[in-house]
Amino acid sequence: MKRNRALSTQAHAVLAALLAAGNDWCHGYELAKQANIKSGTLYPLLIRLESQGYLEAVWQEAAETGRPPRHAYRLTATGRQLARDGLGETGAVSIKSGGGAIA
Amino acid sequence: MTLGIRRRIARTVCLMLERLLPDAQKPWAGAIEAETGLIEDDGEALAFALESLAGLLPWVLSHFLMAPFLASTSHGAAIRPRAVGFGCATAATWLGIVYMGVSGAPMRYLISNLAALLLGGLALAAFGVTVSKTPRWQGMLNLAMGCGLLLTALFGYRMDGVARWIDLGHLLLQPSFIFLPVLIVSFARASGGLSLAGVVIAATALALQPDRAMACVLAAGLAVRVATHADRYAVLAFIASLAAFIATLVQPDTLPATPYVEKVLFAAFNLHPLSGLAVLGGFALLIVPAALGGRYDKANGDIYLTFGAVWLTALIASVLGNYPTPVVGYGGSAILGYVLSLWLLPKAPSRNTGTQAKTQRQLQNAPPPDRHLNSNDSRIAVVRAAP
Repeated sequence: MKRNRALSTQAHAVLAALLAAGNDWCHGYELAKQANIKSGTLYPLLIRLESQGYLEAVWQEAAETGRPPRHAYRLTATGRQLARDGLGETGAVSIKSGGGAIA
Repeated sequence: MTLGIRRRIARTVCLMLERLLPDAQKPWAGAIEAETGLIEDDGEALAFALESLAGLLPWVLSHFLMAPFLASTSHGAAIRPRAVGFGCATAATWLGIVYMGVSGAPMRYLISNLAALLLGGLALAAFGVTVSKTPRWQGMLNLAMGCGLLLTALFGYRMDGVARWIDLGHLLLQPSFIFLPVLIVSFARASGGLSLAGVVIAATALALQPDRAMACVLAAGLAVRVATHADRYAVLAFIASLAAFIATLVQPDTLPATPYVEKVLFAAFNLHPLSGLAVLGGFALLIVPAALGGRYDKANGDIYLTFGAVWLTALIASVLGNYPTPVVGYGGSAILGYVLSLWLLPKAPSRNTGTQAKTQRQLQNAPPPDRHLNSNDSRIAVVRAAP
């Protein structure tokens, strides 16, 4: 069964930022800045997107030596489709699931 | 406050987050720590770390609240039906106690229910480690329980021509509420000649009393068994239970409702909508183990379905007629029966089917719903690279 449900404006903003990045990897701090949301809102969203297969998350070695590895994100193919579907609609972003249970 | 202190606090917050988050989410604490470390401004780094902690606190709370109800398996986390069930029984008992306390029930009612819960919990723990559940042993147990019910119907404490209690001085026990749920769930696990004999004897006892509610409970539980495993034992047992139920219908049942025992739901709503909701909440909790078990342990779905049918029927009967309200109303027998019937639920998912593997991983990995995505997607995809 397909179900649609409106996303919050914060989810909308994060998806838009990730979609705009295309194949480039994004990082948490910059994403929070771009989407203009707090990190406490961003990370639960990223975790949820990643657990549902909409987001790729990898550890990247820092370019400068001595710096710790950094967690980087980009949308998967289904994530990009999700974002396009959502951003294509006016007003609210919605998620459509082929699997059934997604809201 | 100096800048150095802010940076140190930010690091401490990140470490705290790493300690608090469940294993599946720990890499995210590392991600936050890495980002925090790269922020030039100390104040901003502290704010970033603190906001992350506040945002992920629901994960932490969810982890701690669910931990007692989850068991580790080789495939991840699995629901522990008995722990869930005992948690639900405890909550439902307390909701009933709150209702009875507010409505002015005698203190001994409240103490009696609590004592039954404690006794049931101890028995559940003891049975879990000492009593065998081989089919033969279960058959003998079922036969013994059937005989116990028949003896009660023949020689038990009599009230208005109905004999369904054992008089323990200041306490009347209703063995049908203790033994029957155990017998039905046990039969769902292992039907056989001895178990069938136990069910037929129990059905006879219920027809003699007469006890429409419990006869209906027996028929409902066995109907599930027939629907899921229609072997000859199940069909014969169901026919016996149906005959017993019909026998109870044609006999007069003139027992009036006893305050705090019967018609509890309506009495609670008459008292105050909140007390009514408390009782209704207690009702719902009694079905939770069946719902969760059926959802997360599909291999044993028939056992959970039987358990759910037994208690749902008992609850419906208590609303429709003058029959005791299980667990939420006054009466230790139903509390004992509920907790003991949990003993027959599976310990953990028995086989790791594809669906189970998925749901177990869901339990371990899936974060709680957040207000931004509002999603309950059942799909899980892992595309995470290790550091």
